[in-house]
Amino acid sequence: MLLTLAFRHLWVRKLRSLFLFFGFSLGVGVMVVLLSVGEAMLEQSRDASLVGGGEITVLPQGIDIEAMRTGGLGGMFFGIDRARYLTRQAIGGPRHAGIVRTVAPAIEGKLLYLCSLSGPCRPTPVRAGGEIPSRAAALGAGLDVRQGSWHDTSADSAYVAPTTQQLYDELDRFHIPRVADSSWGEWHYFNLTAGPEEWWYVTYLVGGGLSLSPAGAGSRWGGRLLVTHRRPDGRYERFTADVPAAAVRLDTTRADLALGPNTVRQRDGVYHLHAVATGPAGELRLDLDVRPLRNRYFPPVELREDDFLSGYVVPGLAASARGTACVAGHCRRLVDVPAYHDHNWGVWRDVTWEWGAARGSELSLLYGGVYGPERGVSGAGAVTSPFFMALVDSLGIMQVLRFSRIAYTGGKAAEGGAAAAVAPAGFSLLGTRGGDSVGFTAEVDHALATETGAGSFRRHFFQMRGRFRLHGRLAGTEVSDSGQGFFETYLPR
Amino acid sequence: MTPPLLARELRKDYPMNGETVHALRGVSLRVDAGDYVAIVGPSGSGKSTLLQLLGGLDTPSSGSVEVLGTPLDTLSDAELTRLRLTRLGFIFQRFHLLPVLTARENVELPMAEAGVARAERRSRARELLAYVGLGHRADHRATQLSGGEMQRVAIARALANRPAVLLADEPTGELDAATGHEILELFRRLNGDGTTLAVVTHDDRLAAEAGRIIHMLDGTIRD
Repeated sequence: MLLTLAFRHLWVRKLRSLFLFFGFSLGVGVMVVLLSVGEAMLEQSRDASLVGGGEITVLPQGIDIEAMRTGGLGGMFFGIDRARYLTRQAIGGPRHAGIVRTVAPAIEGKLLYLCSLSGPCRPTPVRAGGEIPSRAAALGAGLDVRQGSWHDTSADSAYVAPTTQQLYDELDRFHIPRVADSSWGEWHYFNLTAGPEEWWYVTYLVGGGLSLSPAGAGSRWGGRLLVTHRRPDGRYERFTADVPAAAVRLDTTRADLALGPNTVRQRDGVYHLHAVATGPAGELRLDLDVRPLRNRYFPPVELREDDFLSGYVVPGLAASARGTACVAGHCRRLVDVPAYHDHNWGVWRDVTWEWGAARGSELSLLYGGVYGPERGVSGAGAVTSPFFMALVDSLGIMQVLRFSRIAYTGGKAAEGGAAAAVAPAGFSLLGTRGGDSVGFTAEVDHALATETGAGSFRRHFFQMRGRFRLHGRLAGTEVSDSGQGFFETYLPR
Repeated sequence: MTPPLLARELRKDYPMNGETVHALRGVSLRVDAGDYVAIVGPSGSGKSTLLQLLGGLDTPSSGSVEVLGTPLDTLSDAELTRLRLTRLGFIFQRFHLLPVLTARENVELPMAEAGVARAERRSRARELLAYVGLGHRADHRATQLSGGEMQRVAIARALANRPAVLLADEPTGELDAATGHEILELFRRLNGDGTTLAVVTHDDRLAAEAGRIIHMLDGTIRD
């Protein structure tokens, strides 16, 4: 009877029923949508593939997130120097491949000013953001564009997943100084260990008042190839070749460099070196292929203050080399010998550094720090980079530790042109970061001294080779390794 | 013999604008089976309030009402509803028929609520409609009936569950004289057939048909 009453009401009051029906449908529809949203959120919260996911906000050092959000000056002038490294290695690299499905880099709320292309500039502040379309889509957060398309550009692809060629060109590209400076220098550095008592230092250097600006057109600059050979008998041979600026070819987007006939060409992650130089021992001819091991690189870092600039990148913290080395017509075949490659740029007047690169059975190690130009005889410098020690394995960088000092001990007579130069016999340092700590000790087996500077800045520059041991804990896991390495330091004469 | 209706010292007070209105001031009444009682009096005398208390539609401030010997104040809401459905029949001035239902369906409705089988209630509905003279209008919706016809359908509906007492509140108040006369005749026939009636009315003709007339004034019975 009640059903009869209900349906009769609907039938007799058709318009009202229709109105109520649509109202009810709307209500039900809204409820269905809300329940669907709630259900989707619930499913997402339970989705095993999303557990641990989320956003990581990366800020320039010393910049507060609130300052970024509210449009502080930091939003205009600061950037994330190693954002690519964070995307590819720290978060999205092979070390975390089991727990990170995708990394979608995005920049939000960047304060920009727009000017018209024609007429006087009347800056209009805007907030802009950007992301990589394919990565955003992989997160399920891609844009649903109504017109046009939203796909990765070649630059997007190169950013998140560069080819080997792109990766090493990006790491190892050349730089143009902001102002012409006679102490500007930029170089490719390679070393090779041909045997227990034999090694090579190979440097392709561009130096002087390099400038592309009209103001620097008259500056003197040029290129130099410098090769040092430590013979098995303990003697050192040096070879050089100088070329004028006109014979120098460098590229700010690539690793390739030509100093006349002496060239470095990077192709698909292999550095092809060709070098012809002369020295007291005669003519040197090198033809080598240097192949960095996968993931064993250290991203670019720059130290800046006013006109001072010091940049450094290590494309090949551990590498292998093969080819021929000929001295005065006597050639030697090198097959898969241990090698190392870095790249330096900046102004180097009165600049010194601590540096070391070592290779153990599992780990590669890099430590260093730069003293700026005002460092006095006492050792205190106005501009210094933080001392760092990086540990790298086959999956990339494991940790970058900090240390405050290197404790040099003992004395060891150094070879080379510097008379009575005494190098350290050994040294140690302790790197820490959070709960991680690694102790590093080295014994110097060989040292080569070079006199540098003039006036008050008189130093011996020591290039050393020796054995090392390291021991410590990273992320709660014990690490230990030993091997051999190359080390550098400056000591007052 | 247990009377169908028995009221003892009924009082009903209403709060109004910070004061208390005494609608009933101690009314006692007994309606025996077969009685035809007319309750008359001026507006505001308390007659409709009395009818609502007798029918269990409202509760007294004090005093008691018994229907067939059952004190209403001892019943739960569900029990009281059931008692109203099966033991009392109500007729209102404005009929209160459901306009979307036919006359027959309106009469069937209280029987359906009481759980009477469909065939039985359909048969009784037609019988009751024939009794009130509307057998030919059984399948017309309420909106298609005249005022007199609607009130006769309401009377048939009130009789559906064979109540012990039929309570009517101004049953001719909305009807013209001729139609009111038809209802008067129907009430006379009902009572003659044994139906107990308690009718609140201003209609002197209707009151004159009653076997007992109760005059009310200021919340009291003035016999």
